Amino acid sequence: MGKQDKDAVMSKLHDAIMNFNEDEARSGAEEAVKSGADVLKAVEVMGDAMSELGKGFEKMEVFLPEIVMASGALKEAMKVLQPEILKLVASGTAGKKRPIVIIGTVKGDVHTVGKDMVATMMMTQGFDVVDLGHDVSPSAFLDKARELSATIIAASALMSTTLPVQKDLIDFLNAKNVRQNFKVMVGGGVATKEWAERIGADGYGQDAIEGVEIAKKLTA
Amino acid sequence: MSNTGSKGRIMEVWSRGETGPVCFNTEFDTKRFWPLLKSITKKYKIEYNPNHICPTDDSELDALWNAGMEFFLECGILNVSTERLILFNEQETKKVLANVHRETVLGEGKEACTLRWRAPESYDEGMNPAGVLGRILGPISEDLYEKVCWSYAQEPLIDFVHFQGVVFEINGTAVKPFSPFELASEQKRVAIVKDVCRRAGRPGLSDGASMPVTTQAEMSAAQHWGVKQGDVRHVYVMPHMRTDYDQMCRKYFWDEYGTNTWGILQSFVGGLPGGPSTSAVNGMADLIAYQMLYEPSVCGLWSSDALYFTNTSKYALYVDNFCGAAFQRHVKYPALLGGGWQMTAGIGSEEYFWETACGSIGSTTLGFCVSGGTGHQSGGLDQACGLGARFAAEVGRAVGKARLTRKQANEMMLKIFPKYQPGIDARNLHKKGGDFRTVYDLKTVQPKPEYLAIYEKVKSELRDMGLPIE
Repeated sequence: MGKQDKDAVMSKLHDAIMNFNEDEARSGAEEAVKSGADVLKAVEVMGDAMSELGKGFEKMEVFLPEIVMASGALKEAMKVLQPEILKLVASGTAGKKRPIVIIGTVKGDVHTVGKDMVATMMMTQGFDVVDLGHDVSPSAFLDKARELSATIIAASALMSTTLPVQKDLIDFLNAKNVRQNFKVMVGGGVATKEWAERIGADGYGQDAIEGVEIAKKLTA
Repeated sequence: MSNTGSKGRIMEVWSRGETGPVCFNTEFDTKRFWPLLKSITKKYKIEYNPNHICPTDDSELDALWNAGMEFFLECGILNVSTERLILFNEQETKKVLANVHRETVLGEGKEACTLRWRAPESYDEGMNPAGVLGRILGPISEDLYEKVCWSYAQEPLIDFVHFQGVVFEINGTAVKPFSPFELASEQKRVAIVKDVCRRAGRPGLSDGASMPVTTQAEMSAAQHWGVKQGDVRHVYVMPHMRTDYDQMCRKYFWDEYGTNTWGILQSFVGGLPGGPSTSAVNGMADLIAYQMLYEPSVCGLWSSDALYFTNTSKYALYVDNFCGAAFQRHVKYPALLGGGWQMTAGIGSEEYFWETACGSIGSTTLGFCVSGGTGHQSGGLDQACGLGARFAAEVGRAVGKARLTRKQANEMMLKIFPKYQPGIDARNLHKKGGDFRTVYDLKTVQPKPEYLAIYEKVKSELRDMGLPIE
């Protein structure tokens, strides 16, 4: 396969993300592997497409369900590309791994809109986001973060009565002696910077945009 | 209690969530909700116009109504407890909507107030002409709790209140959902509210708070000393065409107890329902869904921006005003609780009063009730006071006195947006203003002179705009 064909594969992957098309993303990835294209470049191209969608999301030209679908397409492609990337990791030629974020609304709280906005924006900014949904216990955050070797645990709480669960999460991490393995971010309607500092969280975001900025700083 | 009481029909509807088509929670949004919402919005040419926040063209409302109805019928409601769809046909939907209750009584005794449908630009019926909801939401310090409640109960223009300040500690222990402390906190809240209302000479003042997370905690205050039949409790179609068994249990219980229920349109613009136009179609369907699933005594309009939480942005008030007006044009339900339930700016700031004014002007003109009181996105500590609700009421009265047309209301709202929308766009409006400790004299429970001066300044500017506010 020549350069032109490899460019066409990259273009196909880019378009698959922009059009939220899982099938095209998977077949594009398969073509990339088959043709011997640079798989790291393929990941980068898809990441750029996610960033483009993210800019559209902030301007309300692209919408949350579409980002979720685009993220689904990215994940399909990654299933194909991941084994090749692991080979590069083994040979020491792979680039930096996308940081994994475990996100959820804490136990007892069913409010998900703010958390969904943060998760969506993170997906477009180079993070692998695992969304545990709502009513997530500290143990569930901890187990998933350990299982996936996550970089960040992001816990949302909208209500004053569920805010203490963010502190529980940090207490649990300390109790298991794994606090230093993860960066913990908190947010939600009643959370504040002062609260985050008081409970020993690593970061606080007033809204989704600030949350992503903080996550980038924490993983820089 | 003003429900139609057709629990027999509702039980049959709820049971469809056990037999309807399987639809996985993980696939509902992307494979059903969003594709349908996008295509139906396009089909009916629903478009957001930033210069048109208060609707003036009935044909636009009819298009929104038709789009919302089609979306409701095509999409159905997901019962997330069973991962099955609850579906309705057009004939039964129209039959139910033609048979909704026509009036709702909130409160008891001399505090009882009756909400009826009121036409847009109609100022000779209804309550003064709009009913006034005082809204308390967010955490309230233990030492201020009674005083914050008092600041509302003492305001004669307020007709009913959501005394929803959160009691977040019991004897120093954090209150968490599902804990015994949550039950104790709800019992404490209700006891304080009832005591304050009694001492204010308004024992029948309706409390529409839904503070606890859990149904069991709400139920714990359903006692002879606690929740009254003139009170109201929430039941939700959760945002974006979903519900669950917890909500159905709430409705079942409160119907049995004899207390009213309320619901709210919730469309988070910029989130799952997309931009303002698709969010409006979703909101329209939301209001229909309430009648089909829950028949609440009273319904509110509570759209919000998803990226930066605000009830009073151009987007949110567009969704609220268009959906509410279209619904009332076709259903003629008791006066809806109009948009702008809580302000983005902190209490006592100029922006807080401007946000309140903007919501009240649109709401009163369109035949809705007005609301006010809470600030700081309802997330800050001690961010509620009766002065805001008083101001909402006064704006509503002035709109009635001026007999504003929808066109005039829209023009006035467009003049007001520049006074606070830039803070929403910059995502820093919540930093303005004070809190209850700074805004009120804690001995007299009256607003301090410096904050009354801000309130008077905004009133003066409204008079300059042509609104005869006293």
